[in-house]
Amino acid sequence: MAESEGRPVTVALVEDDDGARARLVASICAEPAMRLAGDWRTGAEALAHLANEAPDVLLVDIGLPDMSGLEVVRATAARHPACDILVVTVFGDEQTVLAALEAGARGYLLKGSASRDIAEDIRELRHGGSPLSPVIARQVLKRLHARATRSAAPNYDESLLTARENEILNAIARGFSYAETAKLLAISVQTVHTHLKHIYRKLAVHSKTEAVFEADKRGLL
Amino acid sequence: MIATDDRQIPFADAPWEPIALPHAWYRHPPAAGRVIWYRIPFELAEKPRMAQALFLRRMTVTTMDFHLNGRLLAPHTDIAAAGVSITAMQLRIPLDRLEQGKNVLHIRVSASAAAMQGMPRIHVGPIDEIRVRAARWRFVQSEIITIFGFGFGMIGLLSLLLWRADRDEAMLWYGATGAAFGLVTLAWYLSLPSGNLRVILPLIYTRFFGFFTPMAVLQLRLSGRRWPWAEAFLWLAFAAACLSMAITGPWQSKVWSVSTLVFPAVLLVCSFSLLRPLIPISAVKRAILTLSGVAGASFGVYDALRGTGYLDFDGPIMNYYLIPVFMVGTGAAIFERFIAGVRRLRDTNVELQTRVAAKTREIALVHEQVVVAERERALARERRRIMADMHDVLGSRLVGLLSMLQSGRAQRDQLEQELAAALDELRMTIDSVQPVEGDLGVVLGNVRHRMRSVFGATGVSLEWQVAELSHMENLTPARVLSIQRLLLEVFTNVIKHSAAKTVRVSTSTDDGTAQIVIEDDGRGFEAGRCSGGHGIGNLSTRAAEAGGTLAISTVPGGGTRVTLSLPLGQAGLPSTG
Repeated sequence: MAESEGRPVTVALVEDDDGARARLVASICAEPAMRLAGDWRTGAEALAHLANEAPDVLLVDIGLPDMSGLEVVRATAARHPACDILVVTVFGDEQTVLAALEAGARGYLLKGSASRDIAEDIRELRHGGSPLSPVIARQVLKRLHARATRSAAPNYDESLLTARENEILNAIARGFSYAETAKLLAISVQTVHTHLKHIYRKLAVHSKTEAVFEADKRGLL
Repeated sequence: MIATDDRQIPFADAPWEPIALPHAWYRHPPAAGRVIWYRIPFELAEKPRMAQALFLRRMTVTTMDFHLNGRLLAPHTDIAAAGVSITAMQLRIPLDRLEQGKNVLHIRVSASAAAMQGMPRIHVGPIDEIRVRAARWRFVQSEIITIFGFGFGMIGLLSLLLWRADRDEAMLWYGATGAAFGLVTLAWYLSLPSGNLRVILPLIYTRFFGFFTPMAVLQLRLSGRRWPWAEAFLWLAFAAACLSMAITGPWQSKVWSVSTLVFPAVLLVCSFSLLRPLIPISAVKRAILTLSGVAGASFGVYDALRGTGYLDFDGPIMNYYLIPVFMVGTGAAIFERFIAGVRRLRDTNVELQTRVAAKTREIALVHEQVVVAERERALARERRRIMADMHDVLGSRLVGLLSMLQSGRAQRDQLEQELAAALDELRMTIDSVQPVEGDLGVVLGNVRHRMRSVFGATGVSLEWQVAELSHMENLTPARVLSIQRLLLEVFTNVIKHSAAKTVRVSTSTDDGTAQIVIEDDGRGFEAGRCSGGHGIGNLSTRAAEAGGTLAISTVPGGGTRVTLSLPLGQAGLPSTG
């Protein structure tokens, strides 16, 4: 989403490993365009601080001592939809990232990346979306297709992926960058970002809806 | 009646003996000679206007002369088969022979003291009436028997056919009874063989007594019994008696009379065996079966009594109805057995099908388990491979790092580089087990994704022309890792050694083979000169590991072109450890 370039981007992070947290803090502070809004060690601390106000970008470590980072992601995404959330993961493996995306995150950061990478990723994220790895793009396609065939909830008429969204995910799955994808499909990069945002939302919505559907099916509601 | 040999009508004042008709000669054997005169006076109120006729229900003798009012009415008629008492006789009386008032009928017969022989009752009446009476009698005693013979003959045949299919002995005896009945009736109906008594008498004997044995055996079988000695004796006795009929002699009538009593008795005994059956039979069925046998036996007894004169010998021959009654009574039971057998078969079938279905389900379950086990084994294999891989590559790298540190010679930058490389290696291994689902494009894209910062840093422009590739079969994590490493090495070579400005990555599919082409516009190198260090041999090995082939074409100063060809199908796969 567009915001004025003048204001620095506020970034907060939740990371229990002191060393990693220190490095992240350092990277953010080193960037002139970014401002550290807060750094917390535990999920509870983070949620308490995020109760009323959220930064522009939130970095969440998956493995927190008191709860799963995904819970923080879910709570913050629900409360502050405008906040861009990145999960911090060691491997960026498909399972973790997809779970994060479904919880409402917009991308992931690799732990141990060079500082400049972190800043770059955050910047990219603000501009449109953190680069999706091809493997994950493929899995997103698969997930949303699988959901389409599985979900038979009666009041569920949201179509899962438009043709354009399909094309975009396909291109990304083959390794094309966002810019290249835009050129390939003869659309603007911004359009690509917008479509990706929609895709993320669909993932999150669908995972939520499916959870509801499942619960409903099992008579838990 | 009077017994005399005279050919002349005895006079009215001759010593007539009053008798009652029917007169059975077996019971009242004619004294002395063999010719008997009967004198039958009757009165007519007025001279009849319609022709009259005589009717006798049974004609057993070879000669019979009728004299009416003193004049011969009709000459004797030859009846071929003596001892056969089925033929009824009509004799027309011309009107002019009858008078108003008293009329006298004289009959002259040659008598014999055999069973079933005698003078039947005589009916005189209007010819129409007599005709009707005669026709009715013929129907009841002759034509209906033919119908029965045909009908039950067919039933018998059917029963025999069913016996062939089901092997229930009851069906055999039932069928034998019916079929034989049909056959003999048919033979009788078709031709009344004249002349040869030697052939006819045994046939007649069979007709009258041949069925008792199969019927008796049937009753035994129905009650679940087997009396092999008694049955054999019965058959032999019957055969002997039958043969004896072919030999003319005084024993014929004795044999006949004995048979009329013995056979029904046997049937009766066997029928009573049903009252205490050895196999379970419902009470109703038992009653019906026993009664059929009893009815059959009683018909035979009636015939015996009739033949010997204890009952009116010109009554109907009940023997004919014996088979039909018996077969109807037993028939229900027999066919019920058959149907029960069929039902049992059907139930067995259903049971078999159920069992087969259950077995099939069992097999399906087992098969599922086998499949699952197979999958788990494959997974275990993969796990082992990954462990081995990590052990080899990553482990050795980390060990190398450790020794670097321990030796104290390591530079901080070097350490950082090595550690970052180790982390990348680990990430690549993780990458290789991500699901790619046979899409080579994803593998390529992932390598590019991992290397994006590297590419970004060097300023090499990347032309990405990766097209959609067909599904690749059996793209295992092992193969993915080999391909990743190969690509990594090629890209690293390009970035570090070629000083290229542009790298183009393109793919194509050709006849079941996917091709990845990496071209750069760098320095190139002399093929064959560089080995080991730059790991060209290494690349080929990696390509082989991935189940494909590598081709490098390079010209010094003219760039390098690396082509990796991978089969899309099952061919040429490396054996997985």
